[in-house]
Amino acid sequence: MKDRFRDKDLARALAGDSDTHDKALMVRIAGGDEEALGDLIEKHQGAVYGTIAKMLGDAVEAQDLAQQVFVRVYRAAGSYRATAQFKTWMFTIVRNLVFNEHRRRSRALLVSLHPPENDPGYSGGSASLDLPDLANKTPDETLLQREMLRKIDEAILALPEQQRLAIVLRRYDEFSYEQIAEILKTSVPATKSLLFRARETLREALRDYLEAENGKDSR
Amino acid sequence: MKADPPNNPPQDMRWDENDPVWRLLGRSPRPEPDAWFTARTLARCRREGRGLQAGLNSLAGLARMWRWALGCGLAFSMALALVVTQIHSEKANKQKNVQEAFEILASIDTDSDSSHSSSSWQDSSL
Repeated sequence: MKDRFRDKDLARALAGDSDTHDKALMVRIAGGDEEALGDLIEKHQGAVYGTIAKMLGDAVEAQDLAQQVFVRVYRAAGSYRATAQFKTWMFTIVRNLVFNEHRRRSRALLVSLHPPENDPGYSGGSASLDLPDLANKTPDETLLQREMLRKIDEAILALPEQQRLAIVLRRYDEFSYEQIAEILKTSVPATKSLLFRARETLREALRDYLEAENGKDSR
Repeated sequence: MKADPPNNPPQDMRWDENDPVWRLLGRSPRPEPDAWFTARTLARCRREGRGLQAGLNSLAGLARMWRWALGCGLAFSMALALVVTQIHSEKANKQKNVQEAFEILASIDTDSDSSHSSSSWQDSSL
């Protein structure tokens, strides 16, 4: 228990350090330091691009919107006031751009996040997540695995936009409820409720896979 | 695993970690940008940001020198007002002169009207 508290404190301290670093980078960017801009992009590109890609289900569109986010950050550097956490502020830009894009698209979009391998705009997932090892699987297993990934992405894409963003921010970016509430411009209880409903919808949509997983675990 | 009811949502991350849905979502990783993303984004920032930045900088510079800008603005508007008044009065003077000239000409014409009737080319006796 004590260790858990220590871990939490450490995580908080690291997050604080990271925020201070981001704010220092913003000051340098405001002064015209391009190297600082490069560092900032390098640091946050994974989270920004990944979130947008999960939200839109389109790698090329995600690339363009992620670039737009950094262009906006760059333009706003001069007027940026460090009142909130930098990451929260930046993800508010992400939210605005993604929701605008949704509005722009009048038709429902259910494009797979897993395009053919030769797609230059898509480089696959990161190794840090518990990726299935497709190389050591039989063709059938690989196919089933791909099908499952497609279903998961489709289930996420089928969620209403607020729920989708909440679940992506929580699951993949590990934002706190307070941060998500700030990004979504809502209250913490409303955020928790959004996440709960999103989870229940996903539980229902992915029931077959969850049962298969449970079967595997119990064996 | 049973989920918490909606009116009593989970308070901490451990609830997330123990949820099978959460674990299943983890199977589908977050896509990563390609290796050239940073370079391309920097180039775009340079391209799209520079024009706007320059405009904003010049505005900010002007805002910093507001006393000078105000003084220059006042001097310029005063000079403009002077020039406009000058042109206006010159125009009025010119118009006045033209009118006077017309009046003189008109008076000459009426004087010469009497001589016209006795002019030699109109004299039928010739």
